[in-house]
Amino acid sequence: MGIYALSWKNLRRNRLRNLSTVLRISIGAIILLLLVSSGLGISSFIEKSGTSNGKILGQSNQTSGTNNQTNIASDAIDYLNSFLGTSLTENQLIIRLENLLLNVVYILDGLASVALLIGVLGIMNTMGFNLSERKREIGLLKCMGFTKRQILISCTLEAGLLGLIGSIIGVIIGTVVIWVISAFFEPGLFNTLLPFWLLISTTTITTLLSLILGLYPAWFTSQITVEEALLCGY
Amino acid sequence: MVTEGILTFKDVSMVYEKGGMEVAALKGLSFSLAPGTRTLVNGPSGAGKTSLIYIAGLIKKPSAGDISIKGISTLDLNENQRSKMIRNEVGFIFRRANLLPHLNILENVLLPMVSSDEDRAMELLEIVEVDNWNRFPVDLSIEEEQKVALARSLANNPSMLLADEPTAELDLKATENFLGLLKKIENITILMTSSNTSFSELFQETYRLEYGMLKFYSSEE
Repeated sequence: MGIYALSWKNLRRNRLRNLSTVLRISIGAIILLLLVSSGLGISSFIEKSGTSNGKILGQSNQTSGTNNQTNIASDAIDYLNSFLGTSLTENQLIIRLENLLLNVVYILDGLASVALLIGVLGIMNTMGFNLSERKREIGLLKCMGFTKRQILISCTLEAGLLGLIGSIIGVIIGTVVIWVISAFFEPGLFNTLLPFWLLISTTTITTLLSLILGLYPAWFTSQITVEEALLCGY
Repeated sequence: MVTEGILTFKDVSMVYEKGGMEVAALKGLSFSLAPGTRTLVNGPSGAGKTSLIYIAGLIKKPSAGDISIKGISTLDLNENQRSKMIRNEVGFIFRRANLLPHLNILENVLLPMVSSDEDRAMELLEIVEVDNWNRFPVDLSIEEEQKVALARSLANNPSMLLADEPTAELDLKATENFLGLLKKIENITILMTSSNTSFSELFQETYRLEYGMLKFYSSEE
């Protein structure tokens, strides 16, 4: 039996623990997808509205051409100036607003990364538990001629598979959630963008992170001597 | 006199460090096992039987001396070469079967195979008289588990089978059955350890290991 087949079959054991890990990773991937998607939506909104030097209000003035709208814009600027205790011009205020929105995007991206990391960190925990229970098995594999490298690959692959399954589930659920939210909100009120590259990169990043985080427990386990391993549980 | 056989020990010693003191588990062992012979090593607990099996199966390196398998010295083999030699030439059975609990009987036998050969696995399971191959280890008796472990150890058609007290946890009847199966296996050199001295008649050679030394041996001839 190849080590790849063994990694796949190893997912059968500790189903509840593996399921909870997959769930955590999925939630991380969903949050990543939602936050990055809304960040992209905001960025896109800023770009479409005309990002530089007060075009948003300026355009609004030009297109409407009514005194009423000019007054509303002027009132809004006055209100913002009094609220902020500043005396900024229309253009300066818009630049500040753009910067604020961009900062929101960065914060969303940061939060998304943290959410994903917390989800994926669970894999280290799970693999640590899974592998510590399997010391005798690792010793046995060595007695069958499996090398340390093969055992390392097999265990790391197991972590990667958990990550891959979790990320695929997360991406599917996340996509559905974004579609549902977009359908309920009016266009412009909740802006999301879900490009194909985001789906692929979420899956790839999550799987890679899982592989990397699974590496340490796998390496640690592969170093066990057969004697030490076979004595476990006696 | 040491002659080249399937397994040859040349002045092999094993020293452990325990509590800051050096303990000699094996002291200058020299012997050779001819192809297809069944050899029993008797000895009390702590005599060094497990160390002997581990060293013979290339799991541990001896502190001194050399071990040859099929005439090839294992002294300078790197880890990959040792693993390859283990895979191709050695089959192990231990006191416990150590079957993987999430693999069924057939999958457990397929586990060590370089390329999965289900026909070979089924043939081996028939030899060891285990049926219903879709069962999982949890459904097996200790005797059945040990039989599956025997089938698994033969999966890659090794040239030698190393058994470290495989009957220690079996009852009398199961022990008889297991030894009967060992007797059925042909063309494979078998080295088995046991603290039970009553199995000698089933083996062509019997060694006695005490305090790390092979004290004496008896032979069928």
